[in-house]
Amino acid sequence: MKWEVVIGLETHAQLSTVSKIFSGASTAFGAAPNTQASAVDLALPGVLPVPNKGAVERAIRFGLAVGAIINRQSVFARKNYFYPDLPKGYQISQYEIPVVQGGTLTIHVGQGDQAVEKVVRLTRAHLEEDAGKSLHEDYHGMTGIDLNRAGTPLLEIVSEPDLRSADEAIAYAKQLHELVQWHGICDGNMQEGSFRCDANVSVRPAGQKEYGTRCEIKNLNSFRFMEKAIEYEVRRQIELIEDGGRVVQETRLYDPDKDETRPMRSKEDAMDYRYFPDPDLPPLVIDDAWIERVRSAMPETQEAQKARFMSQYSLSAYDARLLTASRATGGYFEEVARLAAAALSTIPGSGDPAASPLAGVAKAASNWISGELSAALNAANVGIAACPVPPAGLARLLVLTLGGTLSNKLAKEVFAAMWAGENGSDPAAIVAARGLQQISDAGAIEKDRRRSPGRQRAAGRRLQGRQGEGVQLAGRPGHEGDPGQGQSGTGQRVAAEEAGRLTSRDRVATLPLLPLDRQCLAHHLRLQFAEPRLLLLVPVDHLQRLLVLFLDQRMLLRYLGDDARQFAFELFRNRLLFVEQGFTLQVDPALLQRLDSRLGAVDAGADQRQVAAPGEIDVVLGGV
Amino acid sequence: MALSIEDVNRVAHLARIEVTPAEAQDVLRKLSGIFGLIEDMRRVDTTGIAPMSHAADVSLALREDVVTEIDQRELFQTVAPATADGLYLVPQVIE
Repeated sequence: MKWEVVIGLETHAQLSTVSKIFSGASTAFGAAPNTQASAVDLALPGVLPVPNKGAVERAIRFGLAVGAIINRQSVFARKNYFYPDLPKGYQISQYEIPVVQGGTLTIHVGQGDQAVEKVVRLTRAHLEEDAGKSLHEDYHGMTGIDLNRAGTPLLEIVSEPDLRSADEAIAYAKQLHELVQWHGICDGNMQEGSFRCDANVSVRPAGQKEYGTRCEIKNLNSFRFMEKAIEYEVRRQIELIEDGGRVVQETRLYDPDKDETRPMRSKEDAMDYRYFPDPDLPPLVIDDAWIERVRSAMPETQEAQKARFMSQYSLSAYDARLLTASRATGGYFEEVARLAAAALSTIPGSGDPAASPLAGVAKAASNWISGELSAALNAANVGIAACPVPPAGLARLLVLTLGGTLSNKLAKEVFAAMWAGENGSDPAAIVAARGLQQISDAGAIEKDRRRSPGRQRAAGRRLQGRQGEGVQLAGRPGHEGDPGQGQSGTGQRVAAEEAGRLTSRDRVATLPLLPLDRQCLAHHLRLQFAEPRLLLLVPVDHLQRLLVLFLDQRMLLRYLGDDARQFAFELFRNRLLFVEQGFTLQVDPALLQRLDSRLGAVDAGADQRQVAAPGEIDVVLGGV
Repeated sequence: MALSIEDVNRVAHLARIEVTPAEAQDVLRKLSGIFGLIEDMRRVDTTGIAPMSHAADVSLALREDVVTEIDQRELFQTVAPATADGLYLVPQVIE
């Protein structure tokens, strides 16, 4: 039988206020236990809750962002249950009349150009308070209670059961995650629990109108867990029904260690929350003037910004999507494009002014931001808002490349120096200090060489690009400017010769192989290495794909797509990647083709393999 | 609507209130009186009148989003039966 999956999500977004929803205690994450729990949060006798305007305003912002109805009057209710991390014995929430009703979220299901748009209906979004935390370990049969989180404002966002697969559920959760961050409603930090989902999952025979019995899976705090939990639960329900059983409506918890869901509460204890309007809190009234004030202060939406980037800067949908992943990224991009375009317009002869200079600048800025910059941010695990290279710095660098002072390859070297804070991160000063101006005339290089020893080194480095830098790459990484020394082995010689014959260039990162890497390699690529020496990662398409090369005594080589990318990120995460500066590799498309066909043969081989006699597969190439 | 002794026991359980059978009978009698009053009120025609969630026709006063509370953990924990490492200790909860 063919089954249809039906999923609805309930998402708790922690609102980005500095104080709690009903008290003036701080919401800062990570404080010592109970130091941010006020008398209201502890439910001491006689206290009264006073709602936080900032929390209500964020709810309005959300409602406007999803095109929902903002109820002019909504009601706070008591949801009654007993648990030690809920000192009042009830949670203040909203029940019959929530602050936000309806609305839609447009999601994109699938990858890249294959993505399909789908509109998901929202049921409602309501304000409520979070509970405290229970710590069950180490207190001699007692449970420890930390009430710092008690009273933290939450917006619970409920979708209609419009999602039809785990993929759609993930796409929805990710879109919602981007939206709440875009509008400054929630910081989106899933590790700290600021954004967590419960999934209502049911299955029904394809074509059947009525929904099947659903189970609720609680506390899915990562997209990966959400996907696995939903997939497990769908399988479980289908198998249960096909074996003649019946799905029982219940709450289940996902266990990532065992990759399964299991019942959380038994049916007999099914919750009866006995909601009723909280007598302490009269209705929440929101007038039109307030809504208009909030509306006028809202930023351009993500979709609108994406559309504008495509029309104003002639960017592709793909580029525009990457640049509008967050407001900070979009802002960074526009600042770079604006500054670089302004600077270029003052340089005479810097291109044809009639040929939409902004589009050219924008494309270059987009490439840098989605490529080198995001790779560096990922490697350092920092957000673009904390980027050590400010927009003005990247704009100046762009001007140097677009103005013809720097080649792309040298620009990457300058970027790395800017990232490291060299010469006050000023690209012009770095170029001057390192003597990096692009020199195409051989006579000028000769003259330059004689002039100063410092410049000589730089000029020498540039020349290596033309004279077979492969010698250096196979040698001792980091031993700069010393080509030809410390080399041995047929492989390296072949590498040198090959590299000399190549015609275009790209930069290569080298990674000395540690024992741990060897394990990784064996695990990810099912390759066994006798004595690996070096791993090369050649960025192609800005980390979309990577050409990966492993050199051992026999020089192995393998070409990979997504696997390599995953692998590279894993290495980044493990802080194992050392990017060596100044390596230049050149690619001959014919040679690349030859290698590809050989690799095809290698891939067809056994899982465990040692391939290629010396000289048979020789060298790496980059820059497809 | 008529309230049964089972309803009383169920509500008492949900509210974690222990009632003896004799007390339950007493509570049933009192609650039934209140329900009778509600039934009387339901006979009033409220067509076209928006229901109120509170007796007083007032709306919520809101406060600005600023931190006004200081750490008073030590003071608050003087009345707690058991604490450790800044945590309140309670009998173990197993779910």
